[in-house]
This record gives sequence, structure tokens and C-alpha cells, in this order.
Amino acid sequence: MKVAFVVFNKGTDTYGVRLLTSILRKEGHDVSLNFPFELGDYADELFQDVDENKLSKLIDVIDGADIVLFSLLTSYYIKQAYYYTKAIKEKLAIPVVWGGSHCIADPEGSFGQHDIICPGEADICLPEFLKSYEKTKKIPTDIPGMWVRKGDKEFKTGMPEIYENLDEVPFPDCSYTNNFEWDSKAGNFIDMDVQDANLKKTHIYTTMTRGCVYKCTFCLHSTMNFGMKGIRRHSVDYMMREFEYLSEQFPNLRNIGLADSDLYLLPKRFLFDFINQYKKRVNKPFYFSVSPATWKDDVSEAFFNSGLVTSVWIGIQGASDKMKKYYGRNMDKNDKIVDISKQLREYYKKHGSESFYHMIWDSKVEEEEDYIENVKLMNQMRQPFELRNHSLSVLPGTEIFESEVGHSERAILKSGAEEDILKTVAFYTDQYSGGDAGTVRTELTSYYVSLANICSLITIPEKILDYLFVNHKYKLIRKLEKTLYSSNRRISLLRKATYLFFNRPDDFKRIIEGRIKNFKRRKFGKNQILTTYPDPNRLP
Amino acid sequence: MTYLVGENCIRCKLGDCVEVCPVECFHEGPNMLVIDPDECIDCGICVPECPLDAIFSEDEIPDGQEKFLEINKELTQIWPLIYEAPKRPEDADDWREVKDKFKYLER
Repeated sequence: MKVAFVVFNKGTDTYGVRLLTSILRKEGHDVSLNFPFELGDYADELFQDVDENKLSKLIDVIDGADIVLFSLLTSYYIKQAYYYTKAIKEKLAIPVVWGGSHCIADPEGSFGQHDIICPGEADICLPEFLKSYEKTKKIPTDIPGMWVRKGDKEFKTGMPEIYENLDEVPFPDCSYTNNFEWDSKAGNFIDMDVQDANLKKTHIYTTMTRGCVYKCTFCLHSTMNFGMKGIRRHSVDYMMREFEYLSEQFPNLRNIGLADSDLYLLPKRFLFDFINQYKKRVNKPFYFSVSPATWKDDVSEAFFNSGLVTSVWIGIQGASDKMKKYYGRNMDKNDKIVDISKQLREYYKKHGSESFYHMIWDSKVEEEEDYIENVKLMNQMRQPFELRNHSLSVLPGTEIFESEVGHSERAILKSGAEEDILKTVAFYTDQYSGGDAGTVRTELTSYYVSLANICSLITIPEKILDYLFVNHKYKLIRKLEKTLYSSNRRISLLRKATYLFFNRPDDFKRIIEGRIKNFKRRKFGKNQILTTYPDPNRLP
Repeated sequence: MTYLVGENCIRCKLGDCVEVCPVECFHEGPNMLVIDPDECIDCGICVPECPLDAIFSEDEIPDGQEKFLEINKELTQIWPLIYEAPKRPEDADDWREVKDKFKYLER
């Protein structure tokens, strides 16, 4: 059977789709992956009007497929997904299935917006669905985990069967065969050059676990029904074999991202075994996420002293007790965060491992006192460190949806009516803040974000901070922030360049050439979040 | 909210829960384990690990075991924190199916 994936997130790091590709190819299906958005800054394009030329070219590329599968990694793809689906159905008259986080997090909403969805993990139910469809030429309505609407009849078949033992799942397919990427210069979809793609690939994400045990009130994970409590994990041996496969596939791979929400949730024995095996069998730089609550000194020592950790990502979200409780993160204590920052500073000095702390701003319930607590915490932590500030985006199904957005929006977001879809698109467009390179919503928030950014680089004496909390010196603080940001960026780049020059001259040459070619002076918009976010590809 | 160890643990103390706890909040007594409610992050990872179903959430306490909420709080203050699974009592298997074990709790 000819199966065409349409994938909105950028090209090569599509873990879920590549995993399903692997499963479906093993079942004998002819699978293609189609990427309508180019690598790079593509986020704004998601909310623009659909590019009719591109859409028509996509339809040409997937013409001949028996079924189209849309991967909606986030709800922000809703606009493109809706219009692409409509056009594919009209022009090709073949079924379109929606899956991915958008459907898993908000099954009712996505089933309102579309007539065939997979609201869970598709590893088992999707092959069954395709098998039945191939055999009967009719859309099956009895496969658990594949919800279908035919006319007025709805077949909500519950949650899919899932792999309890993750080691039964094959490795994601990273062959890049039959992958078509939109190329704006060519004005068409280009069949990826497999050899070139493999050589270019220097960084990849993978994951050791599925599920998340936390109940963070803003997070889609807390709404997802994984069919079982807790987290499931691969064995250490499986992961080592996957890393070996990836290293073989990508000869220039030099940074592996572990996308698990909190690596330290795994048992200590597993973590020690992991790092020992990793050093012996893989020995490539990697990065991961942890939460302050689960930070363990002895595990960290083993991980960081391996000399392989390029960075660690830590979610703080909010510093005040009120916001910690509101976000469901009251287990993350500020004292511990300060202590972790001191340890990480030492690891940075010793091994160059960078640390990124994530903060959320802009909640409706957040008050100036909460902002002040955030800044005070940053000022207590061991500087300098990388701070990533995010404006809160609220998504349906999350616990804070109603307190942030209100109940009335929910009905619209579940509706498939054309006029409601437009409202749904407007809702998601409004919620999308551009992540940690976006903007915050008010000038007051922006002021405190700037102060926090300054405190991530230098310690401000308490008396001066207290003065700045009472007297809002917007222009002064913004100017200081920009100056420090630019200086820090230059120092950081210089440090990385020096490292590369002496250790990896080929990479140094390639990056410098790329920088010269793509150089553009940065302009900072009003309320724009400044961040020293480095591209993982460019990390030493 | 927190998780707590209940009656089924008494005289069995298998310790599979200790191995998986991400925040190390188990304390060991002579013949039972308890969870420190101030340290527990409510992740629930320990629940499916216990073959005796001895661990449950504060809001799903089985009838008759309400007292274990206080017992976990109280004994956490006295018993030592452990980082690895304790040595299993030699007769642990003999006590798996035994009911009403509260009277055997040693403090």
C-alpha cells in the first residue's frame, strides 16, 4: 500500500514519524515522507495563508498514494493541516488520517476538526488500520485507537493498544529514502539526496522513555492518555544499539539530544549503567533534561565527569510558591535550584557543559510579586547561565486552560464548522508566542524578563534590585540587557570558535563560512525575549 | 498530595520501590518502609513496582488503612533514609498473603 506522511515540523528530527515509517516499511508498505516547510525559521509560515502553489506541488508529489497521514506534533499546525487536508480530499479523494500530539492531547477537539484521527500511540493500531483498509478497501471502524466519523455516525474506539515493552519497537527509520522536502529556490519538492543528508546530519534527538509522570498544569503531557501510569523505558542495551545505528547512519553525528522530559526520573542503577555503557560503546557528546526535584549529585557527577555532556536543560517555570503550585511544580525548591546552579557552574568550568534554565512568564494569574521572585532567584543563582524565557501558551485539555482562557472557547475549539475552524486558527495563532525567541505580552513582563536576563549574567546588589522593583527604569534596563546580551554572545561565540579552531578545524571552517554567508545584523523588537540560545549543531 | 506505604509492606519490605524512586524519599524501619510525604513528588513511579500493592495515593487510601498517612509522616522522622533496596527478610514470602499485619509493625 502506498502511504504518504505529511510532516509539518522541520525535516530530519521527526522521531514519531520515523518510528512509524520503520514499522510500516517492515509491514511491506511503500512509505514516503513529505515536508512542506523548509528547515530554519518556519514558525511564522504556519500561521500565514496557505501557499497554493506549494500545496498544488505537494498534491502532485503524493498523487498515487492510497492514504495520507498527517503528523501534528503541536496544535499550531492546525491551520495548515486543515487546508491541506481539505485540498487533498478534494483533489485526490483519498482518506487522510490525523495523528500526533495534537490528537493525543485533545482527542475530542481534533475529532471535531477532522474525521479520522489516532488519539494515542499508533505503533500497533495504525498498521492494523492499514491492513484492514488494504484488504477491504473500506475505512475500518472497529480498530481500537482509530476514531472514524462516517456521515453522522461516530466510531470512537477508545485508546489504542500500546507496547508495554518498548524494546519490541524497531529503531526509527533514518534512511532518508523517499523523503521529499520543499525547496523554495526550486519551487518544488525535492527528493532528498540520501548520502548528502546522512553526511550533513550532525545532531539528532531520540528518547529513552515514553510518558511523563508529572502533572504540570500547562503541559500537554498531563492531558495525554498513554494507557498506563508511569513511564516506560527502553533497556540500556536497546539504547546503545540505537546509538550505534545512528552513529553508523550519520558519520558526522556529534551531538545526541535525549528528548525525555526528565532523565533523572529513571532509576539510579539504570542511569549509572547507561552512562558506563554509553562511554564504552558510543562516546559521543549528548545533552538531556532534568527537573530540579529529581537532581541527584552522584548521578550528575557520573554524567558530567564523562566529559560528554554538552548541555543540560532545566525547567524552573516560576520561582514563587504561588506560581509553582499553579504550574504543578511545587516539588522544585528554590534552594535546590541555587545549589544545582553552583554545581553546574563547576561542570561548565571543568567540561564546558552548558546549562539552560527555562522560565514561563505571562500567565494571567501572575502578579508583579511573582515576577520579583523570579528575578530574585536568578540573582541568587550562580552566574553566568543561559536563561530561556517563554511566554505562556495555553492549549485545550490542559488544567490551566479555563483559568487562562475561559470555558466558552472550548466549544469552538471542538467544532469542525468552517467558521469555527477560522476561530480555532485565530485562537492558536494568538496563543503562539514564538517560544524563547518570541515576545512577551506586556511591557511590565518585558521589564522583568530583561531584569532576569541581566541577573543570569551578573549579580545585582540587593539594594539596587529593590530600587528597580519599585522604580521601573524600562529604557535603562533594556539597554543594559542588550549590551550584556551582545557581549555575552560575542564571548560565547569566541569561546566556541577557539575550541573548534584548535580541536576541529574542519568544523571551524564550515561554521565560519556559513556565518559569513548568512550574516545579518540583529534587530530587537519591542518586548522581544533576548536569549543566548545556541544552535545545538554549533556546540563543541 | 503524596503516596504512602500501607499494611501490605509489613514483614515483607521487598524494596523494589526504593530502586525506582527519583527523589529518594523512602525510610526503612525494622520490618516496613515508609514514604516521606514532604519529599514525595507525587510521580507514582513506585506504585506499579510493588508486587504487594502496598503503595497508594493519599486520595485512594483503602478502607481501614487511613492511619498509615500519619504513620508514614511520623516514622519518616525516626527511621533512616535509604538509597538502595534493603535486604529482604528471609521469611518475606511467608507474609505476602497474610492479612491484618498492623499488629506486627515494629517501630
